[in-house]
Amino acid sequence: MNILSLVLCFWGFAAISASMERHAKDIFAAAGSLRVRRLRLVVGYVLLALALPPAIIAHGLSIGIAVWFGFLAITSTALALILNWRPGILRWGLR
Amino acid sequence: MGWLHTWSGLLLGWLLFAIYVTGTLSYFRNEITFWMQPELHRAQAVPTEQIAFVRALALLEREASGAQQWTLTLPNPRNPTLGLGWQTAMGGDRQASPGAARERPERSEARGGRGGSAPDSAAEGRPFSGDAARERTGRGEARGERGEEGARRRGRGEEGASAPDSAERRPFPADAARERPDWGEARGAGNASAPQEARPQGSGTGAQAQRQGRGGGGRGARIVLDPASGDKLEGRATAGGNFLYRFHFELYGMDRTTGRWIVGIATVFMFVALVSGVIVHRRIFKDFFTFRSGKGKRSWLDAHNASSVLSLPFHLIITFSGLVLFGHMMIPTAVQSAYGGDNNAYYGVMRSSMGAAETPQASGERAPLITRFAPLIAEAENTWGDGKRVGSITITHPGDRNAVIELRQMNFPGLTGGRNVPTLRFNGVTGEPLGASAPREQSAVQAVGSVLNLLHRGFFATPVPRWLLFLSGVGGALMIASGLVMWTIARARKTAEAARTHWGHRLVEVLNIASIAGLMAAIAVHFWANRLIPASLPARADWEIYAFFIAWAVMFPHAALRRPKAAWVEQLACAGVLFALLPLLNAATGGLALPGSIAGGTGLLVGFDLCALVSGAGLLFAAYKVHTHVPRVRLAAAPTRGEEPDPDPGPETEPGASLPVTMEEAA
Amino acid sequence: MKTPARLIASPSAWHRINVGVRTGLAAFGGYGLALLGAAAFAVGLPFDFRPDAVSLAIMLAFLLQLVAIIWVFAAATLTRAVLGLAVPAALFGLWLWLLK
Repeated sequence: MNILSLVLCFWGFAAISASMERHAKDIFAAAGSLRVRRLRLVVGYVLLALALPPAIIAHGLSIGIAVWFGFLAITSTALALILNWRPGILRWGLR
Repeated sequence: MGWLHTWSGLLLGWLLFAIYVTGTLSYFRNEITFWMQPELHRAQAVPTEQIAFVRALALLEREASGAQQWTLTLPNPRNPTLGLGWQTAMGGDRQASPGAARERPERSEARGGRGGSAPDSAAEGRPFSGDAARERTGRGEARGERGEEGARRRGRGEEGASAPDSAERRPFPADAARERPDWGEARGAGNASAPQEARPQGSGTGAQAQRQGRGGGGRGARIVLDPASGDKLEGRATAGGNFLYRFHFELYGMDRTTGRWIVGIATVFMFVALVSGVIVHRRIFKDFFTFRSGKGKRSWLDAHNASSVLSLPFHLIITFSGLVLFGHMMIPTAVQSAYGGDNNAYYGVMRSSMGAAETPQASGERAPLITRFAPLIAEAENTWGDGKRVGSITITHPGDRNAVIELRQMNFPGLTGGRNVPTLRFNGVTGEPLGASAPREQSAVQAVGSVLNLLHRGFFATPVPRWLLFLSGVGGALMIASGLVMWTIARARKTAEAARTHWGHRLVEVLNIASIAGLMAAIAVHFWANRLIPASLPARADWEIYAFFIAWAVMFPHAALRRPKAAWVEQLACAGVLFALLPLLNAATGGLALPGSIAGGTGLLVGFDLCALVSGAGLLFAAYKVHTHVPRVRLAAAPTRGEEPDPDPGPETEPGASLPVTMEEAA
Repeated sequence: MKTPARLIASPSAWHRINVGVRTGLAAFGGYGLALLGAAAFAVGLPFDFRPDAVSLAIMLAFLLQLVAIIWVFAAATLTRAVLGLAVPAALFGLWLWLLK
């Protein structure tokens, strides 16, 4: 459950980052249309929201929410590093 | 606003960095203390059926037959040993039950140990002290775990009892309840037993503790056993993780209240810096994934933003809850106004609001205590279900017909329930169940307080959340460090243009080096001192602390005398080498070495050694990066002082966490 | 929430006095307002269980202090900075006085 939540958080953030023009260019070489990027944004937030239930299942309500925030923090850190280092490797996960 | 952010962050930034680092390490203070007692490393946690209860009880019978309460702390993931503690009531209310009484000796002990003076106990009597009590107990326990210390401790306990007890001198009855107002905890507050925190022990309910807070003094002692064999383990005296823990909220070498006020004020600065930073850099939410490496100041800004924003909820919560923990101290007017200055009335109301199970009086008739605990434990764990485990067993009036055995759950069930840990009671002679503690309803305010408290302290059943808090803490340390370094970089241009360095700039630079890289080295020295100071040296625990401060103090003149770049490299490298070699030191000085701890599944030792390795590697990497760094030439006049020193990557750095800072040097 | 230009611009004597006054106002005014606010909230908040009001009052007091400090440095003029503390302080004082 922890892993599931982590993975969802990570790809949620990845999708959100791909909805931003600058990062989309880094990842795909082209930013893509506005519609596509808006879709990525929505998908990203949905994934982040979906990451919450597994954390709650694993840790109970109160601790689960805290854990979810923690996961958000570490996955976004990891993503920021990847975006700076090899943004291309995110491509396969984002269609 | 930018001004406010800069200066509120800078002015106490060095102190805040130290608070953040030591506080972050405190999430693992039990583990650190355990590592610092290599004599205990080979104890193996065993399933409850195999715990040598019979031998343990025989030992208690021998050592503490007159005690009115015994506590057995079962092996848990954070400490594989079996802890025995006992509490002897000394006059006063015979019925006195554990919690508070148990605490007091420790308190006096802790004070003795710290050279705390009497007046501060009075000051501490103020509300936040519940906190204090708990910590005090924690510390006491850490000490108590050392066999040798036992005797010393007992001595001190007596001291505490014969001198008018410190509790008596305090303006209010018992710590226990005092703390509760803060957090609205139903019971068990005073009983230091926060199972996560220190080792579970006394199990008196808050109210009981309260009731007898005024009772006599008492003596307590503690022994550590190997759970399987029941052999006594003699751990060395050590300052343990508790030194770092206490440092993070009351500093050292000063009156406790003073230390707490200083930390409290620093926390206000932190809070202001955080919120004003968010207001100033509203844009950071837009591009918080952005990290542009190798761009000088821009990269530092990115690193500062990323480390701040990505765990902003953590920073806000930890800062705010830190303030609220000091709430009664810093905002005394709340109680004064609601209760017309009669603080006792306030605590009285708190007390009466807590229903607690009564402990029966001792009958005076002897009866043999049952020694087979396994069935009771099985029953308790069955009742709780869901994999909940027993953390500690408390026996009140052992050997009496009215003996009561109380089993406490190992962990806090959630964040909103306060320190309200479920318990189950049995008759100590017949083994017949006496009922469970009823979960208490908490008001919304109490629940909020409880969440803040437990999050700040990281009381969790499982390691995942604690690690997350730890990592967020590392991120916070990075945030402060990068902010501090940025101050000098932002002014590097001006400095480079000026004929000579402004003294203020130079001062900040020196303080940055010594309080960031230097602190890391000093912490490493603290761990080295733990192993190099002879185990039999009197007051060796104090020497571990002195070693820390001596090492740290040396870093300041060093940073002042060397050129900044050299000073950064040397101090970072020094810290890095010291950390990286800790696993070897551990193996060489009687600790359970890494291969052994991995094979034996002693996770907490593996964790410590690996963290030391990772932080060592991170610090060395940072040193290397600073060393090879060629400052970007932005000005015609090449800045000699304008180079960008690398802040250290935080205490036990995760590679990922250190990268945002160090990578910028890469390009 | 903009820092007034002159706060950054000229390091004149006036600027120093301005910053000095604001700093003092933030430190003492902010804390004073927090103390006063806590006193008022502790009595005034509608809780049956008074300690709940006390706990909440303490939490609110810290937030009050935070907002006050930020306000003092964000206000465009010194007068506004002072008023921003004085008016709530007066209101809390009044509230407290009405309650007692």
